[in-house]
Amino acid sequence: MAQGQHHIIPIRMLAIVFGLLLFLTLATVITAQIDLGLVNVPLALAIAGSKAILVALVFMALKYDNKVNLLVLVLGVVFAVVFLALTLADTELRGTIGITEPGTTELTVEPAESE
Amino acid sequence: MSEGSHNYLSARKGLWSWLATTDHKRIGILYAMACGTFFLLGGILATFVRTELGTPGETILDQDGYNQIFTLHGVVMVFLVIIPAIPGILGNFVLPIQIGAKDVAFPRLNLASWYLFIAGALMAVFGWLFVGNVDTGWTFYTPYSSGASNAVLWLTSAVFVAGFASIFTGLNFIVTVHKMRAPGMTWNRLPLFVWAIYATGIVQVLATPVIGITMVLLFLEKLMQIGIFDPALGGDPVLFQHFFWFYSHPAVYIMILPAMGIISDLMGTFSRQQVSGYTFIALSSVAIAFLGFLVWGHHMFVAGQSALSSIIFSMLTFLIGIPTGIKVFNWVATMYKGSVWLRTPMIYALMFLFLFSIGGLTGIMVGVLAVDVHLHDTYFVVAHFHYVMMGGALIGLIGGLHYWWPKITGRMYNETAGVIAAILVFIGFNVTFFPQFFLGSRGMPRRYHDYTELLPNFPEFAPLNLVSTIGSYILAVGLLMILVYALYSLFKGPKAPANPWGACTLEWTHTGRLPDEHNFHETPLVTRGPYDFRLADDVFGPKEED
Repeated sequence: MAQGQHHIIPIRMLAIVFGLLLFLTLATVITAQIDLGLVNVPLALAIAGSKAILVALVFMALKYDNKVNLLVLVLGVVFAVVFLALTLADTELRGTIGITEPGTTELTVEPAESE
Repeated sequence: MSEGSHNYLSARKGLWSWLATTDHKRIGILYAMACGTFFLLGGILATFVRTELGTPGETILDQDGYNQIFTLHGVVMVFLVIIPAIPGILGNFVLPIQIGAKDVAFPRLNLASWYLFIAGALMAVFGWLFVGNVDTGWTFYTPYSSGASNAVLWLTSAVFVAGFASIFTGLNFIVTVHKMRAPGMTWNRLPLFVWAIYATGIVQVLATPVIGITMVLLFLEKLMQIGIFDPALGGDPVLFQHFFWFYSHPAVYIMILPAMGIISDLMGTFSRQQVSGYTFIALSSVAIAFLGFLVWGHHMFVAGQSALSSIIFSMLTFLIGIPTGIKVFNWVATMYKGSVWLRTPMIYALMFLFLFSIGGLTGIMVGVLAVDVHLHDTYFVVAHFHYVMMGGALIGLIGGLHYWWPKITGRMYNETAGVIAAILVFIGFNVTFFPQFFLGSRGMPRRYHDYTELLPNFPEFAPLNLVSTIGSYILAVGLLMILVYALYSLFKGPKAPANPWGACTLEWTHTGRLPDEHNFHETPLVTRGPYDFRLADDVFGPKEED
């Protein structure tokens, strides 16, 4: 967006987003007290991600800005996700597949005994 | 056309006019002087390495000295020469003029990037000379580097600081291309060199922070004994390799993409016709930039990485061959039925085509899981990446420097000397590195100081190493010859015409013998593509005759 053409975000909108962020922070605290098993981490990430999106779109004004700037942000996030996903594909699965039983060619998906 | 006393070299005088300049062209020359110095240093170190390996047994270096010399050769060549050279020198000098801009978007940031680069280089030199020895190899693999001398901290800090220089440069070019193109300079009229530098900028901005993070983590582990990578502290050494290669593999594309851009421009200009598959070449640069982020794990097939990851990375590695192949086939097609003009820059372009193809295809070979188990950490890999790094990136740079030399200096170099040096470089390079494919495939490990004990089983190692060393001397003579005739040209060379190659891009058609301080008297109005040679002779005059 060219200088002097900044979109003025209404106070009401800022207040609503502020309220939402407070609510989501409260949700983070409350859900952290409850053991939801496998859902714990995805839920925490979903809440944190929602807060980040709200901040980026409204407080950082990316919703109203040139879409190229949004693309730059999204690219950064995508590459962080790619890095983490492919690294975790190694660290979390190391030694769990491709192991053959001694004397056979049968592949197992069980963790190797030494792990 | 601008000509006369107000060109960018004569507009301001004195040392301070250089040290405080924000002119992109002068900053390009500052980068040239710095990178040229480091290239000389890295080359001397390489000659030491090859001399030591030329004959079995200890020749000129003991084991520790050898380890330090090949480490420094790698660090200097990768971080202080090949990564910064083309964007820093030719990107800075040429890109703004090619898009019709008066400067880059952030001139002060541009100067800051050079100072950061110099600061990083000085830190590396200081660590090497005054703190201690570094023998980790340029990859700084843990856990060895965690326990090595404190000089490692100086070198990793140097990489961290020089990384910021790279980010500043990439950011500057991205914004410059988006915001400062002249009227009529649409995206499909951008010279392919600009496309390549733009794609490189994306990689620089996205990937370089990761090497910074990696170096900070290594720093923390070494200073504060926090277990991140060192298994003795509860860390994971393979995790270091993930961090390191997430930057350092895309860094290969930071090195090679700009060279590909140069080759595209050379192919068009010296074949005197439209570059075949312009859009495909342009977009394949962007595709390589993005795919380059997905293949880092192919450096870790034998490092204990999970089998699933290795399979994924192997498959993704093959994808890189597609956009690369698109470029190579289109360059060949550009020459087909063209009026090929074999001047020195074009000889380097042909050399690139030959050498880079060997480097790329052997890369596919080591990307195959089963083959890599045999070839990993052998001289085959050394030969492969030198065919890419030197046969590709540096040969592209040398070709580009010859091409833009008349515009940078206002003088011509001796064409005969140029051709002879190019032939020497080609012969020397192949004699040096081709035998290393045989050495590696027979099992000679890289980074070994001596191979005497291997000779009973592999007697061929001795003659192949000797040939490789002789080749390195021929290569050194060729490169020194370039230095000599370039220096001669600076002072005694005949004055160059404004457009000696009859090229169609703006730096040749819209500036004088030397560009003005602000490039153009008036902002150019672009009405045609960068390789539209149909009207070239009518509009710009015929190219210089032999």
